[in-house]
Amino acid sequence: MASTDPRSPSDVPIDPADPRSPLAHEAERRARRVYELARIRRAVLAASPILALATVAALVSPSPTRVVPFALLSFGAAALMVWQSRSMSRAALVGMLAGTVPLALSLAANQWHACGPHGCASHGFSSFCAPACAVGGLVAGLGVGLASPRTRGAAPFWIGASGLAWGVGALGCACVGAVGVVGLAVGLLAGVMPAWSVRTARA
Amino acid sequence: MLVPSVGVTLPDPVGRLRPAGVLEREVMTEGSLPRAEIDVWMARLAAGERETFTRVFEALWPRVFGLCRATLGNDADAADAAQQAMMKLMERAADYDPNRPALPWALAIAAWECRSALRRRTRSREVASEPESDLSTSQAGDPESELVRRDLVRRALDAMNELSDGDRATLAATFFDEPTEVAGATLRKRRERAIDRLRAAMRRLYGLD
Repeated sequence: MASTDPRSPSDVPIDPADPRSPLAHEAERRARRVYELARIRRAVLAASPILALATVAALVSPSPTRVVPFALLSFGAAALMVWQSRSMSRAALVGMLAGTVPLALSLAANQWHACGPHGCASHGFSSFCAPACAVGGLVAGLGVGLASPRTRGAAPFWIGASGLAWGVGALGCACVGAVGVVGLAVGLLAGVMPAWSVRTARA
Repeated sequence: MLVPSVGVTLPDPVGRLRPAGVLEREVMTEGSLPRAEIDVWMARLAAGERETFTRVFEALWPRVFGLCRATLGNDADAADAAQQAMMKLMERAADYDPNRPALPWALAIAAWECRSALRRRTRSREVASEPESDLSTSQAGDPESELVRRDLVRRALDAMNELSDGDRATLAATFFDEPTEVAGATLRKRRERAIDRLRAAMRRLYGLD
């Protein structure tokens, strides 16, 4: 007759150093939460320059309230991208940098026209704003195209970087309403598409 | 053995004192993942791939817990310190440099946490009442030698704390036979310098050599 161990395997205490022990499970649960919280903290911090850009845009823009939705949208998108992964963090950085081009151009165009050498105009509308947004978008799109990876699975990078560039650029272009924002989008697409086509054809 | 020429022995990853060769062989093979794979999984976790979390945790936990157990001498304190160490590790996971080996990086954080736990214990004056309760169940069997061992470990960790990050990494690489950025004469020279500085720190702190 075979000898029987009165203790079942589940009765044998597990060494706490064993990853299957209850202690390890609890530690893993806590560590996972800390890992995510740390990533969220980093993401918020990394996306904070957008709030600074939005503040500048709101101060300079003749219609500051239009800046708010784009600021929130861009900040949220950037934070989400940085939280998600390192490659999307890079996309966020590229998008933010690219977006500053149309932002700066639109704000400068608006200022130059509204407060030119012959004094300030009474309204905030600038006829240079829409072209500045389109040209800025084109430059931003080319920048995104140059900075994007040449791999086949890089679509999230392209979409993320382009979208964020649009959001950041819109902080300035929103002052002329839908015309500026649409002009920015058209310019951006015009800049991104050639590089996208070339790279996907090569990949 | 961490630094043979200094005469300080640090425990192995499962909490026992072993000769250097035995320890290195065990560290090389212990755990569910080889160390090269830990580097890869850690790099992927740092990049944001959450599905590698459990594998990294399961690979590091026995080593971190073993270090804490050996340093602190009992499972209760080791459990707290190991949990804290793993939380710190995962908090800094996104900062991990994929070009550097993961294990010395992780163990350096764990050693720091163990040292903090030792300090807290010393401050709260629990050390004085501890030998009777803890040493009766210690692994060494002989309470006196266990006390000496713990004191040496504590002093070694204190002295390590006096060193720069680079020296600590070099010594950790020596202890765990971890591949480093440099090799050959450069590594030997760095190791010699780190050991010299560790010896100087021990002398400065305790008058030991």
